Amino acid sequence: MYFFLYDSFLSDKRYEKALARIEARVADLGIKGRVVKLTILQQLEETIKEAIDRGAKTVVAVGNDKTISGAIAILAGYKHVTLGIIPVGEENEIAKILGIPEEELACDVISNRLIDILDVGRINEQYFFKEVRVEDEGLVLECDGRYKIKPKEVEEIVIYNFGYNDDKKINPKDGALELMIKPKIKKNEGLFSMFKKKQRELDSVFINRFIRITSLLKDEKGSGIKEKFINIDGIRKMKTPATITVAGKRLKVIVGKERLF
Amino acid sequence: MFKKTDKESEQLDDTQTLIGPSIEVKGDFEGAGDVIVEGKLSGTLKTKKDLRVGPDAVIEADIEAKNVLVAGEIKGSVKAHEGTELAGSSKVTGDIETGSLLIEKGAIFNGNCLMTMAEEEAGEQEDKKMEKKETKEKKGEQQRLDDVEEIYKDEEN
Repeated sequence: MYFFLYDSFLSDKRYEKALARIEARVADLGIKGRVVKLTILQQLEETIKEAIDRGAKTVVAVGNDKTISGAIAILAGYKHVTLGIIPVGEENEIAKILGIPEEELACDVISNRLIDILDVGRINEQYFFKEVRVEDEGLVLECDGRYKIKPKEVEEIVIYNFGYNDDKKINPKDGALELMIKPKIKKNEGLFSMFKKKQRELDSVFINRFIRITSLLKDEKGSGIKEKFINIDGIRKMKTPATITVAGKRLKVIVGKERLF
Repeated sequence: MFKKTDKESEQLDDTQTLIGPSIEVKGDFEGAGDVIVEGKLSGTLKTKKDLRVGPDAVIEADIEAKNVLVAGEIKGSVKAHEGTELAGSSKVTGDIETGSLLIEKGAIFNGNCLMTMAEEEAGEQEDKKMEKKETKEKKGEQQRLDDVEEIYKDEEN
């Protein structure tokens, strides 16, 4: 049984035609199911849980990366439920990597039901799919319970489960997380420094299964450091300390033949 | 050896771990892929593939890797299953156990060196020699027996 979940941003008039084409194609292919259009007040978690309780076996997320990430964070707790994706609007990197074309073309992929099982990450008690980011300093990262990393002059720390680290593909089936530490761009010194291109050191890269992020109790000047915010899949935030692991193959998802992994 | 070239950027793609200059790692690091250290590391470092220690890197650890290429500083023992290369800028204080060793002019190395593969190879060559000798002896013995057999046959006739 299919359950179609439309993101709230699709209520905008500019998506009317695209949604009409999708609905027509869904009817043609005979994959119709219950449709719920999210509103700002409606909670994604409650809506999906209710649909699963009613017997939904495939939840089709209609929207962008944020819609999909939000759905995965809940569906990771239900291994028997499959995720379908119909990308609409901007920022559809997840669908692109999974080989799913946009709008009504995605309905054919859902109808074909080529299913893959992918890793999902966990941060404390919550699931995530793409990545977690911290744009701050004063952190210590404990990796696999074996070693500690103290990064200095950091622009950003990203822990990937899925997606791209610059041009490098992240393997969503290897049971590991890729930790990337981006250093700050250093200012040029000396004569004519303003004419020189600012140089950035290489990003540091580590492969881990378990990462614990904590804030340093004191910074280099000796003053106390507050908790840091961790951005999860660009849709949620959490404070340090946090334990990040691979929750294993928890996502059953319908993929396209053109997938990039 | 450590100048940035196109080849190096290609190699970076295959690198699993890169410890940048602004990074400090403490503890027991264990990797399965190539490792590049440009920052600081203390504890132990073990990888199944190659290790490159950049010119500004400082390592205070016992190291084990397939190949070890050093341009920075290492305080600790180095065990390379295949080869070790010390660039002119390198400074190694500790024992090296390696299959092959290349030391560039200017490198500082204070410690003992044990050439493991050379010994193994020497042992293997000795074994091969012995095998050849035994085969020759066996062949010689067979030939001798054949000759004796022919002589007996001739005598019988």
